[in-house]
Amino acid sequence: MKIKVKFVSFLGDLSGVDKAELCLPQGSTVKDALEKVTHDFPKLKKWLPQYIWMFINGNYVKPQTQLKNDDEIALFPPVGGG
Amino acid sequence: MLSEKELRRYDRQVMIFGKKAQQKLKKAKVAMVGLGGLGSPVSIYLTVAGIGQLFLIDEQKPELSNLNRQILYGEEGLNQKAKPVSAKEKLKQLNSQIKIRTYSKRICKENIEDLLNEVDIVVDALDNFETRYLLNEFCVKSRKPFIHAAVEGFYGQITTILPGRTPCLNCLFPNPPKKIKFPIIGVTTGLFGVLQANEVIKLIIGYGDSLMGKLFTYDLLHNKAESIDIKPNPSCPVCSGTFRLRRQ
Repeated sequence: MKIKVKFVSFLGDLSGVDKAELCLPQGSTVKDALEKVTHDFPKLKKWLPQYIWMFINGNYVKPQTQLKNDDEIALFPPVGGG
Repeated sequence: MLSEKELRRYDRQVMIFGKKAQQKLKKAKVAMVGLGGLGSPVSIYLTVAGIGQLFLIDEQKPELSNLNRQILYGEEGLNQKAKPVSAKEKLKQLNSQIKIRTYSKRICKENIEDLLNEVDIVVDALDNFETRYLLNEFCVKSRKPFIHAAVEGFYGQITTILPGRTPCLNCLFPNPPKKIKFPIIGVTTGLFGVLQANEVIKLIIGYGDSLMGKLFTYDLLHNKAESIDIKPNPSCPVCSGTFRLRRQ
């Protein structure tokens, strides 16, 4: 199945792209997608999965969340300053 | 009623949304929790817009390392008065007609109800998620609008939380970011503070589109904006009950 990944802010700097498309086997989880992302974009390894906030279609998701074809995972840098 | 002087003072914005809306601003009570990088521009813009009553809450005193972004404070008076006290002096210079209540204390479980019970809207201008979660729970429980923003470096995020209608902070970010001494520049807090003040004003007067149900982020370094539609978590331990109540 095809999964899109959106990199927000400095995650895009590190990956060198704003968006990427992954091909993953049926039944894959967010964790599988992140493993593929770190393989394709090794500079992100330090940040994934512990230093990001992840959303699919507007819902916060965890690494164990199951993916569906055409899902878009948006990866946000977690920020807490004010 | 607005006085002749008030009508002159707010003339340029009354041209946009009318006298009734200005009257609504005058009646409103807004709490700023945190008076640092975000709280400075939020309180300045709400003061000059004519919000009736501001509640300023922060337990710290201004320090030298705050001055790159906390524009309520200057070189005089560092490490002396608590931030709400210094802030009130500055804000009163900008608009003497605004009522300002100051609370130089850390907001906590024990005092949150006393501090915020009266206010119409709560602005999250904090620098940590621990207290943000506390505010979020209070706002969900008491159905108060909660304007969240958080920043780091040249990047920030904002959303407007309306309990029972939008996801709460816990739906959005159940895991807090790591507590660090965060890098920040004044332009980022300036931008997001102004956006928060803008959300408060629009919510009070019922004008324009708000960031309810949207997470808006902006990267000032690369001029990139993102806005995603966000949904409540049906099993959120904080707010899922408010949706059930609404459906009944």
